[in-house]
Amino acid sequence: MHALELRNISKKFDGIIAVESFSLTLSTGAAVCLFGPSGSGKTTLLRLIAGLERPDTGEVLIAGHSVAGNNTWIEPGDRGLNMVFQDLALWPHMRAIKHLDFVLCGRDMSKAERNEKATRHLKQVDLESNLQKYPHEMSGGEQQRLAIARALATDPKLLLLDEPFAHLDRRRSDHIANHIRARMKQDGLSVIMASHDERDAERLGATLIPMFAP
Amino acid sequence: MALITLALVVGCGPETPEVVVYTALDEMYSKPILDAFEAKTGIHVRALYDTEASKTTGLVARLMAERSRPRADVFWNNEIAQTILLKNADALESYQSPSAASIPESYKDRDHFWTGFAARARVIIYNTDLTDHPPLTLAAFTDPKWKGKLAIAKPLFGTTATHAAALFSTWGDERARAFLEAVRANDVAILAGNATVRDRVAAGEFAAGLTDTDDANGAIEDGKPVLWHFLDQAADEAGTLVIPNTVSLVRGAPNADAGRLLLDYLLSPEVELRLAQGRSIQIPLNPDVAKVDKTPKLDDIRTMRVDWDAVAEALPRASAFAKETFVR
Amino acid sequence: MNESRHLSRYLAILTLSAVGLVLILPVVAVYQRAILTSTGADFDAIFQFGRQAPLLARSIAVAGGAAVLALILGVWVGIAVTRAHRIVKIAIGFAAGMSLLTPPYVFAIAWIDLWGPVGWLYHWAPEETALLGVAVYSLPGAAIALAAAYYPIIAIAAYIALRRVDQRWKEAASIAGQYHSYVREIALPAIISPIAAGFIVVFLLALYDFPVHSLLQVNTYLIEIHAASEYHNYSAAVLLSIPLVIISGVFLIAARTLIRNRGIYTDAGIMNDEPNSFRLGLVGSGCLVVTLASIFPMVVVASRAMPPATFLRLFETAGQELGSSLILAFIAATLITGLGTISSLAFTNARSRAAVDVVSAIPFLISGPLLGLGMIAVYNRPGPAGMVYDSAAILLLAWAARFGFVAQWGIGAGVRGQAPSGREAARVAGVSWLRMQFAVVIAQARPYIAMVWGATFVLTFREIDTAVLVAPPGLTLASVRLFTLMHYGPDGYVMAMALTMSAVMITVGASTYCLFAQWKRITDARP
Repeated sequence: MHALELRNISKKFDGIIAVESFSLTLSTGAAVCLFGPSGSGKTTLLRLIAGLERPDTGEVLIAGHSVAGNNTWIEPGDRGLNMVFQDLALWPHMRAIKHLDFVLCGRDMSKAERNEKATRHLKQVDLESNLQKYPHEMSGGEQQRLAIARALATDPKLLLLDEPFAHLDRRRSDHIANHIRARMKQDGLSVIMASHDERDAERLGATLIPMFAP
Repeated sequence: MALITLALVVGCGPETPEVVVYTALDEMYSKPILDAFEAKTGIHVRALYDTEASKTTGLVARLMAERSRPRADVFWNNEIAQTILLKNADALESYQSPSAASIPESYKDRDHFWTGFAARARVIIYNTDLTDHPPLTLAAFTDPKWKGKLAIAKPLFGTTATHAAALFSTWGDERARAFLEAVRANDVAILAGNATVRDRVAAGEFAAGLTDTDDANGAIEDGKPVLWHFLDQAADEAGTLVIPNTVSLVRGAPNADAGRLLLDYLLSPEVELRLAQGRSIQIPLNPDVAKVDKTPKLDDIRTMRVDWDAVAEALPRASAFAKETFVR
Repeated sequence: MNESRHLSRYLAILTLSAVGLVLILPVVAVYQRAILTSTGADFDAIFQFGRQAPLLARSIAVAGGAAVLALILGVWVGIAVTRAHRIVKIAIGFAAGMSLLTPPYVFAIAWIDLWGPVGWLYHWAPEETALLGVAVYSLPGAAIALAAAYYPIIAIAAYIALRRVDQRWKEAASIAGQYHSYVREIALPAIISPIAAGFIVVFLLALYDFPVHSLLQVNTYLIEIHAASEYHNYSAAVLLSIPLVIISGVFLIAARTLIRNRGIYTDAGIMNDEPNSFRLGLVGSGCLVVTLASIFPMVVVASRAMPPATFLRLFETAGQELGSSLILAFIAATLITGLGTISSLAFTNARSRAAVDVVSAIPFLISGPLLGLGMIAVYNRPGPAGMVYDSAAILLLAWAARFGFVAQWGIGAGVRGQAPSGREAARVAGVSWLRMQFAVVIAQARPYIAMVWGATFVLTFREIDTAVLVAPPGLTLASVRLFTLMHYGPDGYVMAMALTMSAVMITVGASTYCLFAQWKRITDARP
C-alpha cells in the first residue's frame, strides 16, 4: 500500500496555474523531495496534500484512502499527517512545551502523559533546556527544531516538510535528519518535503522530484 | 445572559405601589422632595433626571417618543414652554389638583393639563467690580452706552428661548424682531447658556447680562463679585418674566392614581417652601407659603403678563428668527 | 469534525446576525420615520443652503484645525515620551490621560479659566497681553482648546507607532547605506498609519463636540440639528444630520483602512545614537506641551474642586450613581468585547468582515440622541421588547449598538494581523476548531481584546446622549448626574465629580494599557 498517492492533481489561483496534472506515489517509510525554484508549485502541492487547499481536479489518497477529490473531503486533522511550515507557524504566545502539549491535548492522554511525551520529543531535538521559553526567546535554529518536534509529536504517518533545514547549520541539519530517518525506519513514517537545496534530499535519502514553473 | 439577569432585577420589582417621575429639576433639589413624598406615602418613587437643556436631547424628547406606550406618570419640568409643547402633542392628561387652589390662575393651564409652582424669574446679573450703575431694563441691551459690554444666552434654548417667545407673543412679531436685531447690532455677546452668562459676568468679562434667579443666586452663594435685580421694574415698565416649574400627569400613565398623589404633594406649600430655601431660590407662587429671607415674594415683583399658550405658539417662530439673527 | 467546525461557524454567524439586526433596527426606525413624515416642502425649509453651508464649513474648520494642531502636539509629545525616563513617561501619561478623560466641556471651562480674558495666566502679565484672552472665543481659539483636549490620543498612537519600528530595520538600512530610503519606505509607513487613524478620531470628536463649540462661541453646523430637536422636529434633525453622517462615515472608513496590525512591538531603543542635549531638549519641550495643555487645566479643575471635603460630600451623595455606572460600564464593556471577539471568529473572509465593519459603525454615526429615539421606537412596546426597555438591559443594548464597532474593528484588526499559518498548523495537527480559536486566535488577539475592553469601558462610563433617553427610571448614571449638576450644582462639586470620574477611567485605561503592552510584547516579539 502507498503512503501517499496523487492522481492528476491540478490547482489554479485566480486563473493562474499553480499545479497541473501532477501525479506521484510514495511508499510507506520512504521519502521524496519536491525540488525546484520558487513558484514551481512545491508549497501548493504540500498544502493540497495537507488539506489546506482543495484540488480543482484529481485525487489525493493517503494510506489507500481518498482524502480529497472524487467528491470526498477529509479535514486536515483527520488525515493522519502533520506538517512543518516554511515560516514555522509557531505560536508566539506559547512556551515551547506548551506547543506540544497543545497539539497532544484531546488525544485521550492524561496531563502527565502529555507532559512526558512533549518533554521526550523536545529532548530528541536538543531543546531540553528551552522547555519554558517563548519562540522569540529562541534562536532561528531552535525555533525550527521546535516546529519539527511539534510536527512529530502527534505521531503522523506522513510528514510534510516545507524547507525544513533552511535555518539550521550543517551539523544540526544532519542531526535532525537522522532523527527523522530513525522514525521512518521504526514507525514507517513517510516524508514528502519541498526544498530548493539538493543536500536536503540527500540527508533524508529522498528521491528527487524536479518541479518546474508551469 | 447578563441581559436576562438585569431584566429580571430591574424589570420585575416587588409589587409595592410606585410612581415614575421624569424631572428636569436637578436631582440635588428634586430628590429630597421625592424622598419626603416616599416617606410620607409609602409609594416608591422611580425618578429620571434630565441633563441641562441645550446640551443634549433630554426628557421631553423621551416623553414625546414614548407616547405610544408611556412609562412616566408625572412630568416635573423646571420651565413651561416645553410642557405646553407636550400638551399640544397630546402627551399630557388633565388633572385639577386640590393643592393648586391658591396658585394664581395665570400660572395654571385653563384645561388643567399643567400647573405652575416654584418659579424662576429673568434678572440682570452684574459685576460689582465693573459697574455700580447696572442696566435696569431690556431696552438697555440696545443702548449704545452698553455696546459690547452685555451678554445673553442663545435665544434658541431654555428660558432665554421662552423669554424671546414671550416678547413675540406680547409685542407682536415685528417689534420683537426689530428688538432682537437691535440687540445684535449693539454687539451683545450671545453665549452658550444662562449659566455661562453668569460665569462670564462673574469673571468680569462682561459688565452685566441676562440670566435667571437661580443662576444668579448660585454665583452669590459661591461668593462671586456680583449682584442682581429683576428686569423692568419701574412703574411704566412691563415687568420681568416669571417662569414657573410645571407639573403634569402623563397621558396613559401606568400609575395614574399614584401620579395624582405626587402632583398634589408637589403643589403643596411644603414643597414650594423647600424650593424657596434652596440654592436655586425658587419663588413660591402660592401666597400661603411663608417668606424666606433670601427669596423674593411673588407679590414684590412686577411681573410681565403673558398668555402661556400664545408663548408656546410663538416659540418655533421666535427660535427660527433668533437662529437666523444670531447663529451665522 | 468538518461538520462541527462549520456548524459552530454558522451558529456564530446566525447569532451575530440576530444581534446585529437588534442593534441596527433602531437606525432603520429613525430613518424610516424621518423620511415618511417629511414632504417635499419640508426639505426646502430644512435645508437652507445659504445659512448651512458656512456653518458646515466652520464645523469642518474647527474640527480640522483641532486635528492638525493635535497632530503636531501629539507627535511631538509621543516622540518625547519614547526618549523619556520611565518616571517622566508615567507622569506624562498620567497628566495627559487625566485631561483626555475629563469631559471636554469641563476641560473647556478650565481652559477659559486659564487662557480666557481674565485667565489665571494673565495675573502676572502686562495688562495688554490679557487682550489676547479674547481669542479663546474664536474659531482658532476653539480649535486650540479642542486640540489641547484631544492631543493625547495622537500622542498615544505616535508612541505605540514609534515602538513598532524595529531597530534592526534601521541597522539593516544603515549598513546598506540606504538610511533615507529606510525612513521613506519603512519607518514612515509603519508610523504614519496609526497616527493618521488617531488624527481621524480627533477630527470626529472635535466635529461633534457641540457643548465646547457653544461655550467658546463658535457657531457650527450642529446647532441646526440641536435646534430642530429642541422643537421636536425629529425628521428635520435626522435629515439635517445626514451631511455630518456622510463626512464622518468617509473619515471612519479611511481610519479603518489605517488600523492594521502592522510592524512589531519592540523594546529596542529608537535611534539611541542621538546626542544627549538633543534628547533633553526633546523631552523638555514635550513636558512643556503637556504642562500647558494638560497639567495647567487639570490644576484649575482640581483647585476649583477644593477643599478636599468636597470629595467626601461627593461620595456621600453621588456614590450610588458612581457605583451604578461602574457596574453597568463593566458589564457593557464585557458584553461588547465578547460580541466583537465572537464576530472576529465568525466572519473570517475579508469581504464579509468589511461589510460587518461598515454596518457596525452606522448606529454610532447617526449620533447618540437619534439612536436613543430609535431605541425607544423599537423597544418601547408591549411584550418582551418592553421588558427589555423597562430594564437596565436597554442601556447595554444601546451602548452595544453605539460602541460595538470599536470592538468589531479593534479585535478584527488584531485577528487580521495574525499569520494564517498559525491556524493552519493547529488544523493540520488535528486541534479542534473551537480549541484552536480560543488557544491560538483569541489568545494572540489578547492585547487588542484588553485595549477594546478598556476603551469601551471608558466610552460607556462617560456616555450620556443615549443614556438620558433610555435609562430606566430610578437609575441615575454618574455621567448624567455630572451634567445635571452643571446647571445648579456648586462649582466645586461639579469639578470634584469630573475629577473622580476621570480618576476611575484613567485607572481602568492605564491597567488595560499595561496588559496590552505586556501581552503585545510577547505576541509581537521576534528573536
